[in-house]
Amino acid sequence: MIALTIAPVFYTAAIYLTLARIIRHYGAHNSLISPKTYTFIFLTADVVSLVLQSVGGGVANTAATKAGYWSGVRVMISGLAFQVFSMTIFVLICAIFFLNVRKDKARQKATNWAAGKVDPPSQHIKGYSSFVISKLLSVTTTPGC
Amino acid sequence: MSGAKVAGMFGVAANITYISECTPKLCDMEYATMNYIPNLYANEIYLALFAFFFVVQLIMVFPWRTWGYTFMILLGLALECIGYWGRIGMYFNIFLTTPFLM
Repeated sequence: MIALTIAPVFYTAAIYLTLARIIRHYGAHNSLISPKTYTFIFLTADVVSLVLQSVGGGVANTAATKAGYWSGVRVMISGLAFQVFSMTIFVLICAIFFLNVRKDKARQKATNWAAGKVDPPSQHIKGYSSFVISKLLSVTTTPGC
Repeated sequence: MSGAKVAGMFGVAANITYISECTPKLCDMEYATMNYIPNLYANEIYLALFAFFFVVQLIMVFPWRTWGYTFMILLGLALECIGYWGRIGMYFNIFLTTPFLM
């Protein structure tokens, strides 16, 4: 059961790395935090929840008494809660970024039109919307595991 | 046989000496790692799915070259495989601690 509880931490780490790449592609000015600090903050939060969960799991499973078992379980649950919390912050930052990208695109189109310029070829990533949908799905389902 | 000695304890059948010999019929579920037995087929399906995704991800890294992302996903998938393997073990003997820890 320890493996099952800490596996989602690595999934979220992978998701965080992916968003850093996407932010760089669409321009860091759309994001609240720069991709570098953003990766640093969320990977640190990930490590913290990983340590809390594995230490709690270890304490719970080696405890000799019922009280020791429950204190370990509580540490483990606090690790899970921290993971859900950091993920919520992540989702909010993500949402702001995606909305900013949309606004930015509309603004660029309008400036090009006003200046009488032809729109440059789109830099849109193939599978961008499927990424957003699958990310939302994974983020909403992984804490439930 | 292995595990802790439970002979003569409350709710344990007379012919049981070690916890690894316990079955839900012979021992009280108080001695088990959980109070229910996981479903075998569901956990086998999850194990097969995660093992399949592990192999797919391992192949996909070569054309896409996303090393950091793939490394993290592979770690996660490997842990899921270990976890569901442990749950299959728990179906066969709910009283052992090793499958529960996995």
